[in-house]
Amino acid sequence: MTVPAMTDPSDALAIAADIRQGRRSAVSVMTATIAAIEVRDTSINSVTRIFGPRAVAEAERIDRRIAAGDDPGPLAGVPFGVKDLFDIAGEVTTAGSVVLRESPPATHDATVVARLRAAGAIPVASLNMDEFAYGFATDNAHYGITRNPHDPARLAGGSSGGSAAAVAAGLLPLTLGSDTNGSIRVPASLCGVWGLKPTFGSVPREGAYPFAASLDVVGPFAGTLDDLRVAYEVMAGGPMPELPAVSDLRVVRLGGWFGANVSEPLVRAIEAVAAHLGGVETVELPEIARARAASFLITAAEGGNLHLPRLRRHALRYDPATRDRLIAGAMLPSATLVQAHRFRSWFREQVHALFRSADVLIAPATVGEAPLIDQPTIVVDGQVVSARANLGLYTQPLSLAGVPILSAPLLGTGGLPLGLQLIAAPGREAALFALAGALAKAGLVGRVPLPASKGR
Amino acid sequence: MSEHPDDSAPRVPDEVPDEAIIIATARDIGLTVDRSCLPGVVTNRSLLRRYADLVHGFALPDTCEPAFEYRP
Repeated sequence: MTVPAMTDPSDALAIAADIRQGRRSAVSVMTATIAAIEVRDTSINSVTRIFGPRAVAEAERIDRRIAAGDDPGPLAGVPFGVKDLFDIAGEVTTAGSVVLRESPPATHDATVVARLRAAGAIPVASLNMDEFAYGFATDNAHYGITRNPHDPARLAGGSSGGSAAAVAAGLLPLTLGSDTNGSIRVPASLCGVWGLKPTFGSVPREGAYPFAASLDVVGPFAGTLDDLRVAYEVMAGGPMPELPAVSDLRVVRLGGWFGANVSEPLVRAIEAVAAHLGGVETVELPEIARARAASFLITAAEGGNLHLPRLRRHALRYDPATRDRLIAGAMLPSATLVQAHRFRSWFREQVHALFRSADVLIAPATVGEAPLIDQPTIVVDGQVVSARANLGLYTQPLSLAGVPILSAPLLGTGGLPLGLQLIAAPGREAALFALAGALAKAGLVGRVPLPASKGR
Repeated sequence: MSEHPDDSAPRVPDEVPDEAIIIATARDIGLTVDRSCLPGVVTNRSLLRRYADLVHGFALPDTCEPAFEYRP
């Protein structure tokens, strides 16, 4: 018997095709995935738990269905991982904290997990995150730091850092994360993989542990754009409208706030994208500093309030960095929170006004490459500031608007991964996938290969 | 407030330590802040105050409603 060639472990649809057409069994894919995590995750620490026996049992069921002539779905047998804030029935959802470790196991899968399972995918691991999703570093006092697969001396970004790193390392083809202020887009960019923050409210959050309900969105990470699309459509409960012709899309570049503090390699990469599109106009959204402030304040107040009952009882069990931010947020005056929400209404009008003359906006996702773990800082306006709190400089203001944003990994930057935000009007994810597909076809964006595999 | 003469305003010390404000505010919401947490909370409260100054520094029309049930 010949052993089938190993499918790219970062390509979910290729894995599913192999399994559906009988070239590989779901069990062989699952056991190989678990073995790879056990051997290779030690250097990056993206995984917090492996759901080994149940994942293999689920793979056996997929194989039985295929043997019986059934089609398990477009993601048949595809292993996927979840940021450790998504409920998996029978498992405890920790949200990256020991505070919830003694909670009862979840009684149901999170809705998006259930939808992915109904499409044939199999949850195999929970993934590391900043405690309660509060941070951009995935530096967790309880579960350790997740390292960037492109350079283990650097941060993976966060808070969904385990989700991005696992895809970047080729351990999992598909993972789930959440994005309140940039927690999908920042780590996707720093790890060189695809990530999507869908339109606020469009993908169900049931069974995902909350952080700031006014801003929380759940979404996928993937190694290919096609995988990202299928995962998103499954999670959203149906297919997108037909993708528009790229030639019909009016693409503009966000300047001002989004043009300051950007590293040279990132500027060059964005200019290459703009040149490919035939030159794009630069526009400005007003009051970005205040939009970021409003997002910051809403997050702090809602997160602080959410955790207040536990902070009263056992604050000292929290990660100190998370705890002190939550306490400060819980004490914010109501006048400040209401003002932030009123500003959000005003900002929404400005965003919609911009989309009357544009279809897709492009902007950097971070100021530059992943910061070093032993020097977790970035430079903003000449000041050295904390990476954990400030990596969302370009993502946080856009969170306030709730618009869909696709984080596209840039190719050819000559160094560590960098990401581009593609931003559309609410509900227009199709425009993002259309533009991303064209840029990928041109070789400007795509999963960034790990250093060891470059040039193969 | 402005309808009251200036000399009727309560007198408070010019410099109330941040720690004292935090302890008092926390008490209002039933929270006791452990001494070990105070430096971190002071830092974060200071950061949030800077962001609060930004949003309070922007004049909004009275008709601008809070986006509590936000639809993008």
